[in-house]
Amino acid sequence: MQNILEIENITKVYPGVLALDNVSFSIKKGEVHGIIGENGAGKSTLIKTITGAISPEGGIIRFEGKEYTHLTPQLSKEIGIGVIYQEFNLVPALSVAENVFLGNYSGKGFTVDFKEMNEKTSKAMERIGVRIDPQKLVWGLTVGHQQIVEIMRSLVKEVKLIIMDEPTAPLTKSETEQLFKIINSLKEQGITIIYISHRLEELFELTDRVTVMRDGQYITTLNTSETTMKELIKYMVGRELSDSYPQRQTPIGEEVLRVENLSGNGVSNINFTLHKGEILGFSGLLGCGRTETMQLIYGVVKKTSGKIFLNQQEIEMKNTTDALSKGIGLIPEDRKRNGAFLNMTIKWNNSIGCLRKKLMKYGIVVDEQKEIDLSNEYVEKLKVKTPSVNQLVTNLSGGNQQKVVVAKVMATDAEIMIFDEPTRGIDVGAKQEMYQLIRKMVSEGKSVLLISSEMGEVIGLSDRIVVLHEGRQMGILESDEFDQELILTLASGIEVEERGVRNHG
Amino acid sequence: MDRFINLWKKYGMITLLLVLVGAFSLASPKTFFTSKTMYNILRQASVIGVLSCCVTMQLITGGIDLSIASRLAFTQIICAQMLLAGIPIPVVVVFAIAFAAVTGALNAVIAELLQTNMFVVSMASMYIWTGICYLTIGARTLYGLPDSYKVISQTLVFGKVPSIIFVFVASALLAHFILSKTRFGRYIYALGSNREAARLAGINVVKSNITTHAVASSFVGIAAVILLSRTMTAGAGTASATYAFDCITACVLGGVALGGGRGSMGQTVLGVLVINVMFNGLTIIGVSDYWQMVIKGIILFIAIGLELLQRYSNLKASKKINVEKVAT
Ligand SMILES: Nc1ncnc2c1ncn2[C@@H]1O[C@H](COP(=O)(O)OP(=O)(O)OP(=O)(O)O)[C@@H](O)[C@H]1O
Ligand SMILES: [Mg+2]
Repeated sequence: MQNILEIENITKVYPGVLALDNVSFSIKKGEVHGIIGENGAGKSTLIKTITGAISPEGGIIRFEGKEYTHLTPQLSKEIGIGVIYQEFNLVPALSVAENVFLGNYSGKGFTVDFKEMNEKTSKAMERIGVRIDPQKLVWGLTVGHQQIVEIMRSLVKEVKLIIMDEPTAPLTKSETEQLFKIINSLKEQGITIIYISHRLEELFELTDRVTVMRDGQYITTLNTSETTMKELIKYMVGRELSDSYPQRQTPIGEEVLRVENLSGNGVSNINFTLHKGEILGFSGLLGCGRTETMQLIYGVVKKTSGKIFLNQQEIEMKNTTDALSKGIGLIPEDRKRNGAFLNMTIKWNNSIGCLRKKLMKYGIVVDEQKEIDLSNEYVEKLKVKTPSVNQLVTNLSGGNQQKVVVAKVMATDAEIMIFDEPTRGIDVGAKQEMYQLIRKMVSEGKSVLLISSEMGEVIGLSDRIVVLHEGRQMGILESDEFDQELILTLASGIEVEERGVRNHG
Repeated sequence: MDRFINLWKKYGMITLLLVLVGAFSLASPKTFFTSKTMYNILRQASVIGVLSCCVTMQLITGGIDLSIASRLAFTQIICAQMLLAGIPIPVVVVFAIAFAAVTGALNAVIAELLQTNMFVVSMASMYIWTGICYLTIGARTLYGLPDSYKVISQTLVFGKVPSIIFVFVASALLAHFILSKTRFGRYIYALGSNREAARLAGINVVKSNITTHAVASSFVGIAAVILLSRTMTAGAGTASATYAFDCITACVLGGVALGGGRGSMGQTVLGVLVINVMFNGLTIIGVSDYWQMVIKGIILFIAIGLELLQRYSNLKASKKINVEKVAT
C-alpha cells in the first residue's frame, strides 16, 4: 500500500522541553493508524506539526508525495487534512451549525444561508446518530455534545486524512460506538485516519497499525493484529504494569454524607449515603445527571428540594466557598472551562484552593516556600511532566493539565472529594498512579464520589455504584452486583426490579 | 520571533525607558537631563501612577473602569469642601480613601447584581458622578484651602524630592504587595484568569470582585488627596479628564493584559514612566499637543499589538506563509 503521509526527522523544541526528537514514520493510505504514548510524549505536538498549527525546528512532511516544510493551517486544510484537536476550538457564542461551518458559511454574497446550514448539520448529525438542535448555542452544550460538533466539522468537509486527538475521551460508551461506526465507514470510503487515544482497547478495535512514542521520540510501529496490550504498554512506559485495581485496605466507616430526595438542576429524587472511607461510583449515559447531582452537592447550583446531611446534620450549601469550608472538594469535568487556570503556573494552580488552609503566614501573606514544596510534592505524586512548577499550565500536554486540576483539589485535603472524570486524557501508567492515590486517600479516612465514563474504572474502584438515567436514580449496586450488563441496562432506563436492586441508602 | 517576544517581555520596557531618556537627553541636554526635569517628570507621573495602581488591579480582574476620573473629581470636591469647613487633614485623607473605596465597590455591586461587565456599569457611573460634580459646585473652582494641606505633596524631602513622589512609590509598593504576596491578590488573578474555575475552586467570586474594586478604588482616593494638594484647587472639570485612558494606556504598554489574569505592578510602573518621559520629552523638544495625541494613539495600538503577539506567541509561527512545494 502507498504512503499518504511521510514524516521525516521532525524536531520541535520548547523552552526546557524537547517535545519532538527527530521523529520519522509514515502512514499508509486508507489505514487507521493509532498513536500512543504517555502524557507529554509528544503526540499532540506531532499532530500540530502535521496540520501546520505549529512549525517544527526541522524536518519534512510529505503528503501524497509532495514535500512541505512550512505547512499552515489553511494549507493543510486545502490539501485535505482534517483534524479534531484534543482541546475544543469552538466559539461558544455561536450556534452548533455556525460552528460546524465556521469559515465556510454557505450563501450568496454577504448573506448566509442559515436554513441550508442547519439542514446540512442535521444531516451530518444523523450520520453519527445523534440529535442536537443545530440552532442551539454551543455555550449550553455538554462536553460530549461539544465534541460531537468538533467531529462534525471535519465530516462536512472533503478530507483525505482525518486526525483525531483523543476524540473519545469525553464521550460515553454508546457515543463512542457510534463514532467507531463512522470511522469504519470513513475507512471504507478510502479516508485515512490517525487516531490518538489512551484507551488501548479502542486501538485494538479500530486500528490497523499503532505507532508508539515516548519522551518525544519515535519508538516503533506495530501491526495491531500482531501485538498485545502488554507489549504496547511495555513500549509505551518502558516497564510492565499490573492491570488490577488497588484493593481496599481499611473498613468502611460511619456515614459522612446523605442526600434525601435531592432535586433541582435537571435531576430529581436522588437518594444515597456516603460513608467514611468509601468510594461511591456514579454511572450513566451522557446527560444522565451525574455532574448535575454533584453541582447540587457542591453548591454550584442551588437545590430546589430535598435534603443534604453532612455528618448527620442537615445543611444548606450556599455556594462553593461554603462547600469547601465544610470539607467538600470538586474536580470539575471540563478542565479547560472549569478546572484549570491556563495562563497561570502549576504551583499557582496547585495552591489556589488551599491558600487559607495551609499556605498562609502572618495571616494574609502567601508562604511561597511552602507553596513550592506543596506543588513539587504533587508534581511528583501525580508524575506531572514539566521542567518546573513554574511552567504555565497552558504549556503542558492535555493529560498533564488534567493532573494539575486533580492536584489542585487533592491539595485542599477536603474530607469528601468529588471526582468528575478524574482520569480523562491520562495515560495508562498515570491512571494507575491516580488509582493508588485515590485508594490511599480513602484509606486515610476521606470519602469519594466518583464519576467516570469508563466502566472499568467505576467498577474497579467503587465500593458501590449509583446508576442514573435522565436525572432519575435507577438503583444502587453493591459490589457483588457489579456487572457491566446490569449497569448498562439500568443506565438506559430499564428498571430491573426482579433482581432486587436497591435504590436507596 | 519567539525569542523576540520573550526578550521584549523581560527587558523591552526598561530598554525603551532608557532609550527614551538617552534620546531626549541628547536632543536637549541642557533642559532634559537635569535633576529638576527628572523630579518634575516623576511629580507629574505621580497622580497617574497612583491611579494606575487601581487600574492595574481592575484590569487583572478583567474589568475596565471608565469612571475613575469622575469619582476622583467628586472625592476631591468633597475633600476641598471639608478642608474649607476646617475639618482636620487626617480626617479628610481617611475619608477620601474610604469614600473612593465605597464608590468603587458600588460599581462592582451593580455589575454583580445586573450580571454584566464593569465596562458598561462604569460608563453609567461615569455619567452619574460627573453630573453630581457639577450639581455640587457648578462651574466654580474651589480654592483657598489651608496652606498646611500643601505638605502632603509639596514638601521637599532631603531638600529636593517632592513628597508626592513618595506617595506614588508607597502606593505602587503597597499595590505590588497586595497583588503578588497576599491571598487576596491571588484571588484577583483567579477572577481574571478564569472566573468559573475560581468559583469551582471554592473562591467566593462575587465577594472577591467587590472587595477588589473597593481596594483598588482606595487608590483613587489617594490620588484625589495628592492631586488636590498639588493644585490646591478643585473643580468639576477634572471629571472629564482622560485619566482612565491614560492609565489604561500605561498599564497595557507595560504589559498588563486587557482580558484579565495577567500583569504586575512593576510593568505598570514602567508603563507610567515611559509615557511620562516620552510626553515630557516631546514637549521639551517642541512637539505640539496635537501630535502628542496622535502619538499616544499609535502607542496604544502598538501596546495592544504586542499584547496580542504575546498571547498568541505559540500560534504566531503558523501565520508565516512560506510554502515550499517540491514535486517528487
Ligand atoms: N506551548 C508549549 N510550551 C512549552 N512546552 C510545551 C508546549 N506545548 C507542549 N509542550 C510540551 O511538549 C511535550 C509534548 O506535549 P504534547 O502535548 O505533544 O503531549 P501528548 O503526547 O499529546 O500528551 P497527552 O497525552 O497528555 O495529551 C510536553 O512535555 C509539553 O509540556
Ligand atoms: Mg495530547
